[in-house]
Amino acid sequence: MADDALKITGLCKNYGDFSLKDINLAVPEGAVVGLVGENGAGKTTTIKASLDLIKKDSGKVLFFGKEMSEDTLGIRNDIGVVFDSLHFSSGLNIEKIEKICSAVYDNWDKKVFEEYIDKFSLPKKKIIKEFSTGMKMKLNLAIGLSHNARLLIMDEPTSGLDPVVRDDILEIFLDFMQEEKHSILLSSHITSDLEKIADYIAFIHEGRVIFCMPKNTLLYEYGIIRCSRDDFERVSPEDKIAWRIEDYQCSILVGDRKRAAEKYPNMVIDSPSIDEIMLLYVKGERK
Amino acid sequence: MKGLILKDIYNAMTQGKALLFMIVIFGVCFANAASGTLIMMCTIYAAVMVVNNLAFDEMCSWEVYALTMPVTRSQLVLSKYIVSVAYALCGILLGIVMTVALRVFGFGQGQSSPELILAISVTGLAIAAVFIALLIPVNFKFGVQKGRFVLLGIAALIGGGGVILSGGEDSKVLAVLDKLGQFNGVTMILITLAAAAVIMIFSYIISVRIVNNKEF
Repeated sequence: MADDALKITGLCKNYGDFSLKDINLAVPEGAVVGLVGENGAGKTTTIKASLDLIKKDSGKVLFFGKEMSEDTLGIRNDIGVVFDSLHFSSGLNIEKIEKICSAVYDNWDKKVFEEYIDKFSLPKKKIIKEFSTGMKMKLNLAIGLSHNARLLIMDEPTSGLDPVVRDDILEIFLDFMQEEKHSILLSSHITSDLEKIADYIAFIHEGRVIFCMPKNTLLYEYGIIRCSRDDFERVSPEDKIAWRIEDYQCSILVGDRKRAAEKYPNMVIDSPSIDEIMLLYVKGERK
Repeated sequence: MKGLILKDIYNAMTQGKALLFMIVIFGVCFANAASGTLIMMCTIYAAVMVVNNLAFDEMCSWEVYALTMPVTRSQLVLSKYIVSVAYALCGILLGIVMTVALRVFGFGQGQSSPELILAISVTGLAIAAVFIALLIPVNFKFGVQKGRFVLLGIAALIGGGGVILSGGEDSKVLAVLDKLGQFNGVTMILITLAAAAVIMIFSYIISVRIVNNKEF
C-alpha cells in the first residue's frame, strides 16, 4: 500500500460560528485528491490548519509521515502551495520573484521555472500588477512546480479562470503526476476539473468530511434514481444514501447503480456527476 | 531568510522615485541646518521605511504565502529587524555623504568633525532603534492601518510620561541623564549602542510571540 503524502486525522477547529469537526483525510502518494464543497464548507480552513497557518484545536497532520513541527523547513521544501491569488507585491516582476524564490527554496530549479514561464508565455520584465488573473495564476503554478515539490496543495487554483486556461493548467497537473511519487490535494468547487484529474473525491460540508472515496466509484458505481413520489416510497430505505423530494420529481442517490437497475427495473437510473451528488447531500436529506 | 530580505529590498526599490524625492527634500530643507540634522533625519526616515515593507506584505497577504515556504515564523520576524537596521545604516551613510557634500559647496552650520558625526550617527541609530522596536511589533499585532493609531497612542503616552517624569528639580530621569553626561564619548557611544541592542532584542522577542500566536 502506498504511503500517504498527507494524512489528516481528527482535525478540529472551532471558530464559534463555524467549526471543522473531526476531519479525516489522506492524500496517498501518487494520487490526486479533490476536495469539494460549497463556499464556506471548510476547504480552505482544512488546508490552512494542515499547513499550520491557523492553530488546530485538536488532531494530527502528517506530511510524508512527519508532523510539521518535526521538520518544518524540510516539509515546506517538499510541498508546493498554490492559493487562488498571487501573494507577491504587485510592483515586482518575474525576474525578481525568481531571485526571491531561489533564495528561499533549497531545491529551486531555475531552468524548470524558466521553462514554465516560456511555456505560459509570461513576460519576465513586466510588473505583475499588469498581469491578467490567468497570468498570475500561471505564475503561481510555475513557482509551486519549480522546487521539486512532492506534494502540491492547491486551494481553488482554477477559480476565476476561463475554460482554456483551466484546461492548460489541468494539463500541467497531469504532467506533474507523471512522477509516481508526486501527489496533489486540490480544493475546488469546479467539480468538472476534478472529474478530469482526481483519483479520489473528498466532500466536505459544514466542516465535516461527508465522504472520501475513489472518483470512479462515485461516477461509475453510484447512481441517481429519478422517480415519482409513489416510486420513492417503493425504494427500500437501505438503498437510499441521500435523496431530494421536489414537486415534480424525486432523486435518490444509490451506491450500486447496477444492482438498483435490477431491483427497480421500471425506474430511470442516471450516472451521477459530482455536482449532482454534492447537491443531493447539501440540499437533500440523508441517512 | 535571504529570500525574505531580498523581497523587502526589491519592494523598497519599487518606491525609488519617492525615495529620491524625499532625499532631495531633506537636502533642500536641511542644507543650512546644524551639522547632524541631515544625518539624523535620513537615519530615522530610512529606519521607518520598514513600515512600507509591512504595508506591501499586508496588501498582498505575503505572510500567508511565506509560511508555506521553507521559512519559520521567527525568520519572518527577524528579517524585518535586519532589513530595518540595514535601512537605518544606509540612512546614516546617505546623511553623512549629503552633509559632507553640502559642506563642500559651502552649506551647513557649526562643527562637522568626524567625532561629532560619529556621535550623531550613533544617536540617530539609537533613536531609529526605538522607532523600529515600536513599529514592528505594533504593526505585526494590529496591521499597518490600525497600527498607525496605536502608535499615535504610544507616542502620546511616551511624550506625556516623559513630561511628567522629567518634571521637578528632583526628577530621577534628569538625574540619570546628568550621570550619563559624566561619561566620556566612547563610553557613551557604547552605552547607547548597548541600549539600542537591548531595546531591539526585547522588541524582537515580543514580535516573535505575536507572530507565533497569529493565525493567517
